[in-house]
Amino acid sequence: MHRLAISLALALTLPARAAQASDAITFVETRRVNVTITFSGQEVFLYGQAPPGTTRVVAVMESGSAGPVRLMEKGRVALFWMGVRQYRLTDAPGLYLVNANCTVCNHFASCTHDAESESWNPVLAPLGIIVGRGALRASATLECLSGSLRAGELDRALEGFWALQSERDLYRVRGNGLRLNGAGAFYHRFLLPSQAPDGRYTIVTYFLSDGALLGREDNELFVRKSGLVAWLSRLADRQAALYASLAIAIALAAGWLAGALFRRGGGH
Amino acid sequence: QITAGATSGALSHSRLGNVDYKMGLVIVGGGFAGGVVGVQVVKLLRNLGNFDFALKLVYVLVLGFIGTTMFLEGLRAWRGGRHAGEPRKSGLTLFFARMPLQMYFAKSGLQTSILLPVLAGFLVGVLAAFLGVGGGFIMLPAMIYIIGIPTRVAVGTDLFQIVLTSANVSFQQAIFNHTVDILLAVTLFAGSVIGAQFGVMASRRLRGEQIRVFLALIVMVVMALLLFQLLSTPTHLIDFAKSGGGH
Repeated sequence: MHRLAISLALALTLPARAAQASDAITFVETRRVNVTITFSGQEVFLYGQAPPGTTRVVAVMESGSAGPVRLMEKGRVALFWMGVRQYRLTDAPGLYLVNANCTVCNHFASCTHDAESESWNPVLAPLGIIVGRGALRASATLECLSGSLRAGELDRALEGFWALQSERDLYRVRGNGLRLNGAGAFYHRFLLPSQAPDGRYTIVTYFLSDGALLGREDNELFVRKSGLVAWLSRLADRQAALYASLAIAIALAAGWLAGALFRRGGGH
Repeated sequence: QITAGATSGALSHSRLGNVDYKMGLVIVGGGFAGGVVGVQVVKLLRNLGNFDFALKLVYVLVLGFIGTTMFLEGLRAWRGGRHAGEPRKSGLTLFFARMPLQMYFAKSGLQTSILLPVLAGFLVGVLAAFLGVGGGFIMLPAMIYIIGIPTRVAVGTDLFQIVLTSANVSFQQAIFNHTVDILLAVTLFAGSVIGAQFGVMASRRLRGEQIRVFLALIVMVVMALLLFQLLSTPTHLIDFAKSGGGH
């Protein structure tokens, strides 16, 4: 809380610079997130100064690909719902979060403006940049394992995948998730869920005015397992037999201990 | 998690004299072979592309058959007040009583061909690998109705074979698929090892036919839930394709 107050004060009192159009600063409160045994998610606080004339700030946090994912589309056959089409999706990011400011209500919780419109895309698209749901279509590859892709199938599968990831808080577009003040200072938070994959994350912040990209700032974040979680993960990868033996030994010991405790307690 | 809970229950049942180790080891031998075959069946069905549906349908059919049969037999015995409360020996049991490779299983009070428990273990191993379970809800009725083991001994022996089967599968999953999470397992079995103790206490107060009726009810509830999933509109029409089987 103390750190947050200082960060906010810095963010709101950063002097507006008489600067060139591309001048911008972004800061990430932490560069490393440690995933320990008690990790249940974490807020990553970001703030900075936008170039003069900025009306829209769009920040994207993205992890690397989580590996190929198998999807299926369900359909009704006779009475039963079953998988009728199978897909393999590759190169989809493990986590994809977008925060942007609402130009009307500017980060008030009751914002009712259309956060899904992604109105920054007409500005960014000519530059080859896609931010939001369309980025999944641009980066990921979908292969149909049940034959060739039919019309509309790609969009349906990607929409479905987006919905699944959104439920797990791994994919999110918040059109009102960032606050930009009159002096050009901004701040926002990315909510890193407990299921966030480990690895290197890129954070790209775009500064837009009406119809133009004024600047871009890049940051990075590392999510790493630490402590017992890291040790077990390394053991499982490098010495699988030892890890397996340890798992079974723990299970047998726990079962024996429960039996011993209850026997002493006169359970039977 | 299954290994820990089964160990807790098996040790307690062993102290009550309810575990036939000899029978358990013979069944496990057949179960290991069945598991290998079951894994190949899983691979084949996954390549055909509708493993998830096939899995649920088999579950519904197997659970429905086992649950209904056990419920009717157990209820009949409960009401009928037959001595000892154990079901009549099946035709299969009587047939194998005359087959070669006879062996006496003292704890079960049973003289039968070793082929019977090996075959029962094999069939359950195939189903267990296919359905992705420890096999207990299939093995227990097989022990009672096909092999002819008394219910209480079947419960304890079944837990013993689950310890060995699940430990073997966990070992293979950890080495070949890296799908064993120790921390998750510890969280889960913190409850199950204690729950198993209460299960043992409860089983001491119940007669054999009562245990069969309650097991049948649980099995039929699970069957009904799976049938509901097959018939009702899913929440997501696009979903992750599950990898089933394996233990």
